[in-house]
Amino acid sequence: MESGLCSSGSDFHALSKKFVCVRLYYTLEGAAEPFAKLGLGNPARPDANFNLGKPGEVKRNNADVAFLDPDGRPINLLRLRPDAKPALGASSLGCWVRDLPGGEAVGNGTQMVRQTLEMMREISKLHPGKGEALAIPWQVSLAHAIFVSAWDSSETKRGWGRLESRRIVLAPVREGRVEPSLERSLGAPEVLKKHGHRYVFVKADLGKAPAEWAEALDRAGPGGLVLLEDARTANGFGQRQVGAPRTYPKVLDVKPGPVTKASVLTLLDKSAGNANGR
Amino acid sequence: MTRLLWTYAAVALIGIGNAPLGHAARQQAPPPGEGIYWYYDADTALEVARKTSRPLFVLKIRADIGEKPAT
Repeated sequence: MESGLCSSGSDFHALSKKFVCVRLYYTLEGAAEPFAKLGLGNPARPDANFNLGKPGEVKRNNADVAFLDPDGRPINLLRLRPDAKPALGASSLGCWVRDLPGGEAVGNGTQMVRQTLEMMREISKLHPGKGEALAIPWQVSLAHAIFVSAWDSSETKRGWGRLESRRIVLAPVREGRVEPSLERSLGAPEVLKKHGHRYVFVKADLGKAPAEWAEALDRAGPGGLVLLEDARTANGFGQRQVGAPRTYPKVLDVKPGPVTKASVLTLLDKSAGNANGR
Repeated sequence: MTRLLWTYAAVALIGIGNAPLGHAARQQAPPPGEGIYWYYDADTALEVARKTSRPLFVLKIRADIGEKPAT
């Protein structure tokens, strides 16, 4: 199995560069809404558990892949182009890899990977893309940030070569906004190209942050940032751990504002996931 | 059983993007810029797609697939 994944994996890594890749754990706080914005409807509907689909309902899957064209229109994978009149919420057949022939009945990871890679090859030919652009990959919620950090860091320890332990960058938010100078520094191409995939970026409301981080956020001020250790567990943040005490990652460093591109680079260079042999 | 298989699919879809080419590769960190660049926020992803004319790849995963047991 490992060799199969590895050979497929190298394909996926190369192909992913031709896409804008989105990953969402849809049952976590804030992670269902983006599907509506992407025209993909409610990821948990019409039935949250695809094994319990009723006659006439479109079954949905716990894990699936959809594609959108560069204008943000869901691609019907059966025809490799967006529908002229897309169904509301893209709940009709054709928008998910599972809708492809064989996908409905099999529930087979190997087949899904194969079909996904095939679609990636086909779609990247139709939309070759141009230029480079990166943006700050903001998380959709603190819970999602913790989960991504815990998952990627955990998988790294298990030996997946292209994942990294991902520490968390907390950007203080006041009145719903990140300080423009901080956003400019974090969003500089040099910073993102080097570190955009190595850290988890999340906004933290100064008035609502957990007590564990309050002092650090206060010290950072609105134009600064707080660096956290990678999450060791998703306890308290995930769907199955409701009621478990939340385990907040520890504060690793604080950079009082105002920060610059150079000072952000220095901080992130020093603390990147595998830089210190962690 | 079916759910277990899909769990493998979810792990595979993340893992394949991060899979090493050999045992030696597992011991090394990827060079900067070589990892998968994931987005989470829809508006940001849509803006990048328009700017680069690149299509979007959207991976949907139910969180409890990836959850670790409480410790």
